[in-house]
Amino acid sequence: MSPYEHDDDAGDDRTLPPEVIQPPVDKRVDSELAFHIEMRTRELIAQGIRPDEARRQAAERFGNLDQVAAELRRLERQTDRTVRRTRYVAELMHDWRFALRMIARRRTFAAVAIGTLALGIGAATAIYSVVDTVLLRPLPFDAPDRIAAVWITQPSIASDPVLSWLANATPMGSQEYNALRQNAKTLRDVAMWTPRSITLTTDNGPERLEGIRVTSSLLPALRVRPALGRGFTPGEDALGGPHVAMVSWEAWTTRYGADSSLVGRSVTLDGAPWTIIGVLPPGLRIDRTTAAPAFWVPALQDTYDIPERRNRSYRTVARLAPGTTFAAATQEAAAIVRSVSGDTTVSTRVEQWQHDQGRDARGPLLLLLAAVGLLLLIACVNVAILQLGEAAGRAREMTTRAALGAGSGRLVRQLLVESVAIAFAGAILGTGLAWAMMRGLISAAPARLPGMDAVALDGRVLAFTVACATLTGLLFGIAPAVVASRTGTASLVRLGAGQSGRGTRQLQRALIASQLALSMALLVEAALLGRSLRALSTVDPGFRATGLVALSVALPSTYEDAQLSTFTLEGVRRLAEVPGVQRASASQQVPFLGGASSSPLQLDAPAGGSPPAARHTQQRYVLPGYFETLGIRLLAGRSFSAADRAGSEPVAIMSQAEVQRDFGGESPLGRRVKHQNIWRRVVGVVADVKYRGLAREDEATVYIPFEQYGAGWPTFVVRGGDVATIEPALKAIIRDLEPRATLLQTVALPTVIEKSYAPERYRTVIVTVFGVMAALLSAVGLYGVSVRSAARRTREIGIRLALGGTTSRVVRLLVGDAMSGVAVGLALGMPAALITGRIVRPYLFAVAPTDPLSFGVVAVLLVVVTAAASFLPARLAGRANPAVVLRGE
Amino acid sequence: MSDRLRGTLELLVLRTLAWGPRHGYAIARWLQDTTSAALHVEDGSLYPALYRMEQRGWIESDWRRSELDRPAKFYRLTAAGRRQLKKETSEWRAFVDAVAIVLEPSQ
Repeated sequence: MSPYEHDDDAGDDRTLPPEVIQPPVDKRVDSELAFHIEMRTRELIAQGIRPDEARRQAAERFGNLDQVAAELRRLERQTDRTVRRTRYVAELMHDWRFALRMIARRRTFAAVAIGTLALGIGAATAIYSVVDTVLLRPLPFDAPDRIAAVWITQPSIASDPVLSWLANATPMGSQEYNALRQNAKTLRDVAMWTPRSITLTTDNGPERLEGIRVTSSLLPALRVRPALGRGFTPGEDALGGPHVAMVSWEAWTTRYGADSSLVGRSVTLDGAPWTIIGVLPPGLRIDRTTAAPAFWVPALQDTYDIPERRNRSYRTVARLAPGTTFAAATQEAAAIVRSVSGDTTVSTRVEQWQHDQGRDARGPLLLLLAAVGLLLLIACVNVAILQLGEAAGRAREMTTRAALGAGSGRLVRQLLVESVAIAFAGAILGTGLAWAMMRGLISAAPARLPGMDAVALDGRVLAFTVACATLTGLLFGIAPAVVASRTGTASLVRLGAGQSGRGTRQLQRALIASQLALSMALLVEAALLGRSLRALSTVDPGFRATGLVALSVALPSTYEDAQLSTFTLEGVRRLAEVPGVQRASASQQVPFLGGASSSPLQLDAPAGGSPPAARHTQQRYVLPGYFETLGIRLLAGRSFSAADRAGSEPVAIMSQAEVQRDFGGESPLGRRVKHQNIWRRVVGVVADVKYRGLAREDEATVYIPFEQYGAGWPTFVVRGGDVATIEPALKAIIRDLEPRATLLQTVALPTVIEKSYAPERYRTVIVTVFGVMAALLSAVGLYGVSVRSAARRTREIGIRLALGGTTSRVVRLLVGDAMSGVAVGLALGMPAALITGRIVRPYLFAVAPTDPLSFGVVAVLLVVVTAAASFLPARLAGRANPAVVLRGE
Repeated sequence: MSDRLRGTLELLVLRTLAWGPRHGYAIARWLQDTTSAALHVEDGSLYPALYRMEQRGWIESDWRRSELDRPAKFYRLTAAGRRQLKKETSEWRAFVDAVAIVLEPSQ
């Protein structure tokens, strides 16, 4: 039973105040027994016995006082424990019921508070669901924390703009693979894989599908067994190995109707027959950033893969041997790779596969998590502000309850329970919101977030939400509760009468200032990212993307160089004839489509000097008209023409960055360069083109006529005309020239460029949305406070108006009051924003983290928003009729 | 103290409190008066009995002002205590009857 609940019996005037009820156990027992002895002594004295004799007799009649007292203490402690427990539970239940009643009674407050928290908790949950899936949730393999990703690192090439991308993560080749398998004691089941698209030919014609090449050790390394049939065996993943393939569960069910007789049958992959030997288990993903491959084929079957070629194109995973660490494995692997490659500058990076997968995503995701954390904090502060305002209005209730025997500790707990109840209501609403936001996050997400398609609101995420709700409830509940406990209930009484509450108002002001500071930090972050995005999107790519369409084609692997040239030239010629098309050309690589391709470029010796060392240079194989079609400016010399054929003089055109790097900016025209063992004469210089992203530095590039090099599959580029006519035209050309060819993709280049900075846009949009939410929440908080402050000062305002004050002066007074808090908030926001600026720095392009424009715009925005929020209630107060105001109360 | 005596003591305490709340000394006095000291228990043995009964939920206590004008611990019967009293009284009667039949067989 709680101390302030009394039944009729105990409610009489002899009942003592609650503090007396529960002194410590020892005292209680002692005083009860002392009382007994005292009473007995008095009785004996009343019978005429001398006091000291009476005392002795009383003690004697009692028996062994110490023994009894010890027994009673033991019993009483037992009782205390049970009583405390049951009382605690009963009080908590009572508090919950009471909290729900109070919330139901104060609907506006509750709605605003719950809405605010739903926003904060919802956003936090949505972001966390992504963070959890991408970074935290263990991979769905046995003992996933012991699966290692192994990369070669080459710090020596980090400064080379062309090769720097290889510095931290160079794939492996069969040379390293064999050495690791034979010698590494710290790594077991070393396995390699690489994605590879595959053409499946069925009765319906050829079709391009995702495939993967894996070593026979991959499934054992992951401890995965085929669902049907068998996996690859050692010996199958070797030069000239048999044409055996596995099919994914998904492809097996959708394409082959889950027909188990597929195992043992033959399918046509890349124009050759392959025997299906097994079906993989459902949901198996190796690379979580791409679509699951439909067909698995053995790795290391091509001459390209033989160790002597030293080609490195495989990603590597392995099992960490029992009892070893990633650090030990890194050292051993590095030593092995060094000795087998003879290159002492290389090292290795061996880390948990999951960490490796989340490597690129971690920074941006943590950035978003930090942003949403700020938003949640702002929501908390906002509710604390509202709650504080409410506390003032509830003084009468608090006083009554204190008078009825509730201690201040009890009142604090009651307030905290109310806060947590509000937080949970917010969390329930927020979970719904989170689900919607999560769908949005997923659908708008740029590609390449590992595991993004598996994001869901599951138990782990909901546990986070519950933790969030409890924490926020305590967080925003603590301020009002502390006010109640520190100043005691007496001050609550005064506060309610509107006499003082200075402490409360100061706390409120401090909260508003900190809320504005946090909002400013978040908004500055958004502004910086926005400015950076703008700078990025307006970078000149070096060609005119508008109106350009690219179409890439896959050709049979058996094609000869001459056939390739014929097909490509004829394709360009016929595409140029399509109505509406102004120009057409082709290249093996078009900007923003396709990765890097480089090889060392040797320069001839300048007059009277020795030849400089060959340096890695990006290479592009282009058809005549390529520069003209893309709109790449010719800076010197001539462009390629139809005369630059297979048999004619080998020529090359340099990019400006190449000329800067290798020729010191002097004209290279007429100089000779050796590329892939052929000396070529330099005939022209063209402007730099951003081939691999707008944010990248210009890369030294050499252009070579398509026909003078046995280049790979062509990508056609067309200026003018629309996709609807170009695509069928190319398909018709393919049908005429080479029915085995497939059109891989048709894309408009402006779209591709936009996609290239989609991750930047994505996070900018998210942070901006959070920033706007934060500003709105701040406005709501300030509005609430302004309304209350205007209401509290009605009498003062009435007097001012009655004494001849004008409405505008009253408004100025009230708004000025609020704005002084805003000024403090902005002053605090500056250092906070500088800190967030430092956090986002790695993600900024061409914008300093201290960008004055971003800071200025945000400050002005916040001033405008907060001024509006305090102006509205102030104007209402200023328009009040003084007579009415003064008569009231 | 034998079990029977303890059971009897508890029954008597319940009986006492059936008339209203009182503190430990008042209970002791009443036991002394009404049983004419026939039970002859030490005052001290009353208290562990009271505490155990409180644990069992038969009685409950609070501190009130007493005759000495300082707080004393008052015990009173709970609903469970009332039921217990009823039950034990009838059990006691049955026991007494049974014993009576044995000791004084009807002639």
